[in-house]
Amino acid sequence: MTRGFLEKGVLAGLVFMTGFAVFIFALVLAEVAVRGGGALNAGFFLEEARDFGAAGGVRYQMEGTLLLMVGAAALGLPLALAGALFQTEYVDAPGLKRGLRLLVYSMNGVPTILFGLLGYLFFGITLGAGVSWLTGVLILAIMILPTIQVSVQEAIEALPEQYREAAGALGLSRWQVVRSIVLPHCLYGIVTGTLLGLARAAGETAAILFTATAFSGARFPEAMSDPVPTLQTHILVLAQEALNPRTIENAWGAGLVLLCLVFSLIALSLVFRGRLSMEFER
Amino acid sequence: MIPAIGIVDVRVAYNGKPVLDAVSARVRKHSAVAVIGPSGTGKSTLLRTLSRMNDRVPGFKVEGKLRVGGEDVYAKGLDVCRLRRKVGMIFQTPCMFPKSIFENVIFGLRHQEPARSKEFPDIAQQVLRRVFLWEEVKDRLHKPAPNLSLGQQQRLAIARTLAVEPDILLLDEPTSSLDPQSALAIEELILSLKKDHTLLLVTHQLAQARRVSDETIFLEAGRVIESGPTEAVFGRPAHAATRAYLGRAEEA
Ligand SMILES: Nc1ncnc2c1ncn2[C@@H]1O[C@H](COP(=O)(O)OP(=O)(O)O)[C@@H](O)[C@H]1O
Ligand SMILES: [Mg+2]
Repeated sequence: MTRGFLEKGVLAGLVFMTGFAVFIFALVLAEVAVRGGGALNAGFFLEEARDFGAAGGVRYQMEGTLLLMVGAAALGLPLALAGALFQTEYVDAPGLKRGLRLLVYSMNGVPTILFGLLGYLFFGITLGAGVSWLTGVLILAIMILPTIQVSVQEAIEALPEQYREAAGALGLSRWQVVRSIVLPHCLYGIVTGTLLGLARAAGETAAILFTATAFSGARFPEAMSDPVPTLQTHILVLAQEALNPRTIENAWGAGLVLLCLVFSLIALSLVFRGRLSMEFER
Repeated sequence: MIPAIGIVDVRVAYNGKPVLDAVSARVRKHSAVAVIGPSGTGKSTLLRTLSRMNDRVPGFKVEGKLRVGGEDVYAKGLDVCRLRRKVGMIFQTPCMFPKSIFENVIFGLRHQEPARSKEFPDIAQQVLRRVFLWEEVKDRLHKPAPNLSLGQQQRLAIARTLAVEPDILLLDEPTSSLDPQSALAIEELILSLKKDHTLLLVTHQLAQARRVSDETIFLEAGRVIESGPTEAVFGRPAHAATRAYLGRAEEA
């Protein structure tokens, strides 16, 4: 077999697989849009769910999902930023650097149910936060931390060493170099990472299902110890238990809302990815 | 008199691989010393070691004594930032921050002496004049510095370093990435700096070393082969290795 032939074969395989992925993606999108599109109207976004999801909308579920996402990002971002800066700017030992890197990358691959379980045992039981909005935010923050950190870290590592050296040679301390050179440079990396983290939190179900969310009767939480309703839990419960076709349609509608939310976050993150703010200023 | 730079029996290794071997040298105050020698010989390493630019390099190890202005460069508890203000470093390729010309010039000052911000415009003008760049940039001080030509960028890099008032300037092949005309301009500038500064200049251009320096150090494979007054090293090299290098470099 000639080399050219092999290359063509591999290329054809890749094209086929890419096409297949796009096809599946379009199929899912179309399916959800067709089944849930009918449920969407102004009331769906503005009203409270009634009749076990058969009537009304998903207002509180949307608010709950947003609350968990934003809370998790608000907590996760500073931690991830600190972690990334510590590893890239302050740790000089190459062995430790590699170890920390491995840790962050493998945290990204831990099944989310484990985060839920351990997070609930620690935050919910040991620290007494119970099934609550707070427990959910804590669990999600830890879960999306590696997602944000990897993105920030890659942006920082793309900064040529000569910028640091030029600033250091002028007598700036490490922290001054971080503030004036490194942070402005990786601004878009921070934005990208945060958006991806938000998307990850929005799509997450397993880790928060029994630790932070409630199904019926829950509204916008009044205290940090209250559980929240979320789109994810809503969809799951409706899909599992409903018989009424209106309810099923509303479940698909909620799914469509969630899908749009996640996709727009990812699309937005792609806009920022790879853009370097330092070059942007020129 | 205490020399501005004193290097005694310095050994440097990266990850156990020796790069500088028993290097000793002295640089008198307000004199210019050229360091010449083949590539990969440790010239950059010597300069970087003097301003502690290698602290972040993994596996870097230094032995021996390095002093600037009588102060031990590797003393415990030394304020590295203060040292680097005293010992300015100019690199082969100028690295402009993605900011305006003005912000680049006062970049170091802005961080070290923010209280003096009223004086910044005057200081900027003064150092830009000293590097013969003022006339060329005075009308576009607030335009991005990365748009300048390489030669102008290198002069700006020198101005930026002068603004933090170093006593010593370490220049690592400052003209190698420039066209001949810009290189000559930098050379003129270096000559004019000798009045107030002590200079240690690494260069591949032997003619430049001859024109600029009072003394020359010839480094090969991490060892000082020969050092002394520039005229002596170039005119009557004592070692065969020096003669061989000067001959080879002349041909090239
Ligand atoms: N950061 C580093 N890590 C490992 N080895 C290095 C590093 N910097 C330089 N070296 C090695 O040290 C030797 C001397 O390099 P250098 O000081 O740059 O020489 P010169 O400036 O004379 O060309 C070379 O063999 C080079 O490969
Ligand atoms: Mg070099």
